Amino acid sequence: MSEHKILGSYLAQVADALREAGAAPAEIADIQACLREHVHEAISQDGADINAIVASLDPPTAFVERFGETAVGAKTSDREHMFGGAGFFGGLIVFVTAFLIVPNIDPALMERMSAPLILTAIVFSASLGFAGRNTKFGKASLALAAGMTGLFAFLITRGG
Amino acid sequence: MDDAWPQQMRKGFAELCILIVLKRSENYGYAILAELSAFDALSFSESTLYPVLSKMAGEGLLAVREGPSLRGRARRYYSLTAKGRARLKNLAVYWKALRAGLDDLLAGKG
Repeated sequence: MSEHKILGSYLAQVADALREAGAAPAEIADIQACLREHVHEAISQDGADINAIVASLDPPTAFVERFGETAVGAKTSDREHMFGGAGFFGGLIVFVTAFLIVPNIDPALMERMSAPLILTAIVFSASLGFAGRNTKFGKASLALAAGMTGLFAFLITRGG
Repeated sequence: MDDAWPQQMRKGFAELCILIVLKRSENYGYAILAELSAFDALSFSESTLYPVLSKMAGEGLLAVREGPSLRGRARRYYSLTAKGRARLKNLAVYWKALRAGLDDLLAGKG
């Protein structure tokens, strides 16, 4: 039986909020399981309507506030956000420079510089993305590094 | 945010309250909430209880097992581990000292 739509949506919002706060996947799953159990206990013991129970639960942001003070894992720090953002935008800038700007300035320079620039962008995005892996930009940075690595490998195999 | 301070104080005692409830017997989350809500000053919301339970289980203070409820759905039962019992002992000692200190301070002693 599929989970009730409203409960599923609420649990997804709680998971998003906790993830943003730096909670580990196991902790998120644990808290979700507790909430799911809570709702079903309220239905079976108090005969309450599922919509009313979900509506009475604390907003997802409340879990973030509590999580930040109680979690085993520390709350996502400003430094992690900074690493994630720097990894994503820094990698993107170097990548755009290597593929769009350098070839237009000097095609010969492109021959010599594109590979080192792309490799630099990959290492930069991957390392900073890993340092900020609990943040949105950190994950985007890791995805960017993976994408650039794939593209680089593709160009090399094509002899580009 | 004048109304926030009782909640902040309660949160500080959440771990101690859970340990006390579980000292009597193993229990599940919803029942722990219900038991604590019998005391006005100790009623927690689910957004406080479940992250704390998760944290305490992660720290090895609580053991978790799954068992069926009367309706057959799985329930998570929490019980104290040896580490949890030791934590309860320490927190109880600290709580008594804290309460005595605050009482003295309120009475203008010291």
